[in-house]
Parts: sequence; C-alpha cells; structure tokens
Amino acid sequence: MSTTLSKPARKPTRTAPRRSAVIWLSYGILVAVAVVVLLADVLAPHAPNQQDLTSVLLGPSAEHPLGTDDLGRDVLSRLLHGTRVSILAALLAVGIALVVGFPLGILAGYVGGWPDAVLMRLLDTVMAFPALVLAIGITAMLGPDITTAMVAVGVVLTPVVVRLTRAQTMAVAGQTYIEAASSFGARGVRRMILPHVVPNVVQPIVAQVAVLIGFALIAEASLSFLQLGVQPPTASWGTILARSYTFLERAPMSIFVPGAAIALTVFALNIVGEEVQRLLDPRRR
Amino acid sequence: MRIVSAVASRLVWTVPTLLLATLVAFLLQQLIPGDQAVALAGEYATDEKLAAIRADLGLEQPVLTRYLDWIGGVVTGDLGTSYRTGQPVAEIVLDRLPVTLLLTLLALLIAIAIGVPSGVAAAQRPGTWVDRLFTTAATAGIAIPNFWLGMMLIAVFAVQLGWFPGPGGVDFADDPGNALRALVLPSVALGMVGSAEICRQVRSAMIENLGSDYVRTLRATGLSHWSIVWRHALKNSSLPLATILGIQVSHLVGGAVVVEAVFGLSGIGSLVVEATNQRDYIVIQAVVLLAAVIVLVTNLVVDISYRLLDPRIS
Repeated sequence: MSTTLSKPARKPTRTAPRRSAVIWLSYGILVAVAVVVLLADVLAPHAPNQQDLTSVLLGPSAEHPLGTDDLGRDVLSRLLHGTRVSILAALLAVGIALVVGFPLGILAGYVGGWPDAVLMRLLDTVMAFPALVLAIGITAMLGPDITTAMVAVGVVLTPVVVRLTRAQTMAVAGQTYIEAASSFGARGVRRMILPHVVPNVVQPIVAQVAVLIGFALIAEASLSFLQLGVQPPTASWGTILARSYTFLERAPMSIFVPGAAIALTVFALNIVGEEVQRLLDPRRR
Repeated sequence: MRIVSAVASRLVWTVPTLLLATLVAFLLQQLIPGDQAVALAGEYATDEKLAAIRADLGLEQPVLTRYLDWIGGVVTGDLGTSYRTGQPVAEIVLDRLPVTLLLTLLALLIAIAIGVPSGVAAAQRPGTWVDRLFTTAATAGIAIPNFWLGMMLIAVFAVQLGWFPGPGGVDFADDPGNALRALVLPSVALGMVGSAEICRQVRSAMIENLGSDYVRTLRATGLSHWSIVWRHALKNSSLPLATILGIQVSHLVGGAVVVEAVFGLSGIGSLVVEATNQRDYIVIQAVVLLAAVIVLVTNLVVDISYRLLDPRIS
C-alpha cells in the first residue's frame, strides 16, 4: 500500500495537461460529428448520389475537396451524408439495446429469484455467440437492410446493458435508503423502482452508452461493408469503404478518409465514455 | 484427479448452454419473414415446386419436431444438406474451417506478442508519458475497424511495396508456403485490436500486482526488478490474462468474418456471407452454431485454466 499512497502526490500534476488535451480533442470530434449529422445537407457541396461519369476518380480539387469516386460522385458529400446514416444507425441499435435491456436488468437485479436465473441463462447463451456472427445470422434471416442490421446489433448489445443494469441494481437494492423507502411502504414500479432505484442505477449505463455507440458504429461499417447493412447507393461509412475498396489499386487514398472517420469517432467515444465514468464515480472526486 | 473433477463440473455447466445455443441457432430460421419456401425458390415458383421444397425441408411439421430432427442430426455430425449446392453442410463447413481457425490462432498469437509486453511496459510507471503513450495507443487500437486496417495493410504492403500477396486466398494443398504468407496481413489486421485490449488488461493487472505487499517483500529479498516483473507479477496476472484471451477468441471469430471478406480468404466467415447472398439458410445456421461452439469450448478451457493457474480456485 505504501507505494500506492506515495504516488498520487505527483501523478495529477504530471498527467493533467496532456490527458485533458486528448479529452478536449475527443469532445471536439464528437461536436464536429454532431454538426455533420444535423447539417449534412447544408455542408455537402454536392448531392451524395449524383453521378458524373465524365469526372471519375478525380484527385482533390476546389470543386471536389476529397475527389470523386468511380461513378464521379463527390467523395466529401458522400462522406458527410454517410456520417449521418452511420451515426443514426448506431443510435438506433443502442436505443434498442437500452429500451429492452434496461428494464430487464432492473427486473433481474431487483426481483432476483427464478426470473433472474432464467434471464441470465438466456443471456449467457446469447453472449456465447460472437457478436458479429450472431448479428450476421439475424440480418441474413430477416433480409439484409439497415434497419434489420441495426435491430440485430441491438439484440447482441442487449445482454451487455442487462448485465450492467442488473449488477448496479443489485448493489443499490442492498442500500439502507431502499430499505428505508420500503419500510415507509414504497413498492411497485411507480413508488419504488422509478423514484428510488432508477436514478441510482442510471449513471454507469450513461457512461457505457458512448462505448456501445462506438461498437455499433464499427458493427454498422462491418455489416454494410459485407452488403448486409446499408444498401447502395445510399452512402454510409461501411458502403463507402466497400465501394472504394473495389478501386483500391487505382486510388489507394480513397479508403483512408472514411476509415479514419470511423476510427476517430470511435476513439473519441471511448475517451469520452471513460471520462464520463470518471466524472460520475463519486470515489474519484 | 483435480483436473478431472474440474472438467466434469464445468462440462455440466456448458452442456445446457450449448443446448440453448442450438435452440437459438435453430430459431433464427423463424425470423425469415413470410414463407421460407418462397424465400428459397423465388416469388414466381410454381405451387408444385413450393410444395416439394416444403416437403423436402419438413416445413409443414411443427417447429419442435423440426428442431428435434435437426438437433438429432447435429449430435451425430449431420448438419443437413445445403439447399443450393446439395452438398452436406458439415462437409462444406469443415472444408472452410481450417482457414478461419488458423487465421484466428495467428491473430491471437500476434495480439499476445504485442499486447503483453506493451501492457507490462505501460505498467512500469503508471501516469508517466510512456504509460500514456501505450494507453492512448491502445484506445486508438480498439477504435480502428479491423477490416479497414486490413485494407490499409493491403494498400501499403501488397499494392505499393508488393511484400505480401494481395487479396485472393491461396489453397493450402497447392502451396502451403504462399498460403501462410497470404495469412500474415489478415492476421495482423485481426490481431491489432486484440493486442490493444490485452495491453489494457495486462497493464491494470500488473499495476495492481506491482503495488502489492508480496512484491515489496520480493524487492526486500534483493530480487532484480525485471525478475520480479516477469517471473512473479506477470505470473500473478495470468488469471485476468486468461479471461481476456477467452473474450478475444470470441471477438476474433467475429472479426474474422469481415477480415476474410477483405482478403478473399475462404473460411467460415466468407462462407456465411456467401450463404446469406444465396439465402442458404441451413448453412448460415450451421456457421452461427459453430461459432458459438468455438466460444463455448474456449470458455471451458479458460475456466479449467483458472484451476490450473490458481490452486485456490476449486
């Protein structure tokens, strides 16, 4: 213990400046992504699907800042519109996971007993499947398109939300204030769960949401790359990558920008997720 | 004897999950919207053809009967027959499995080879620039989609430099040397994300161990720093390492699907994509189940390894 006690004295001063630089950069990236999602139509110089076969695979120019693809479509415009599609898709998947997983997690954690045992067994089974493989299986059966793909990603994310919510609920359920509330006659969803349990369970889930969105973004890109998600000609990060991969040898740089967009956004989400977790953790204040 | 009872007790836990997994894999078919026969034969198929397909697949029978039929076959190694090629599904899958297993194994080795030393290095002085460099790099590594990394590797090392073969798999039977060379870039693409996750786990486990009392005692006996790090602290970090390796196998099998597609490797990943395009549902079902079996077997091995690594766990 003595080593850990002596260290914090110098740690904050040495880590604080650069750590916060990465965090501010991450906030910046997420704000930029949010702006693109809201204003893709305004920001894009061209229509995303507008073809011009007289100007295919052009390099960067004033008219096409990121050049054009093999059908003469403006890469920047496709990227901006694709950002909107990818982010909304990821939000849909995470939204499904939260709407299904959060109540189930509270139920399992608060009620316990056989509902908990049955649910956990089922979730263990779902988690035995590699997430992407199960998502592909579900998408393949439902018929490939972006909604089914994101429902599938939502399904594979649900156990993560349930487990986290359940663990937190179990921790909260043993607290004295819950006992106190219950001795005052609080029970049921409206008098016990909503006012006393939910507010104390929500925090770690909030921190996890950023990480889940990051996972969903990569899943969207993967499924769309395999033509199981967003369908051409609609632009998304995955479909743009899939398309530009087919002319890799003629324009190797064209794969760089969409991939970097994914990587930077997911990086920012993970950093912000960690930061939110740190800020919400009362022990670290 | 300890091992035998450990294996037995874990098997008791694994078998029900395995059975449930077969049920999940089977029930995926129930998700097919509308009539499966129409989905297979197309909208313009004649009624006789549809009836033939239904009879062939036993679609008129209740779901439970069909499940029991299928699971009876699965137990004996009969996964059914592909509707598209007429080949036994087990044969198709076994034909594709070695590439995926080899790719996953190589990726896991790369992930360990990079992840463990960098996690150890980062844990030496927590909070310093070395640590920050590794942890930031690890966070960045987790954020990079493996298939994009694969494309970038192809663009640089196959297209520009020509050091490795580009996409398009090589048959092992024809040319083992070149086939192995063709697996280098995909394994790196797949293993990088894993190395980042391993780095983070090893780092936190090592920091905890290096700050503990037994390490202080070892230092007092005059043992050199690196011998404490490698021989004692890392050994005591092997439980979290085993856990993360188990999780990695699941991630790698999932990631292999996309990486195989990028590199044109004919493993079970590209098989499931082909089967999806051809609506060969029974093949999809088999691959999904096989992936779960790989993960469950890995979890079993990890659970048993806990007992081997730490005698206190019983």
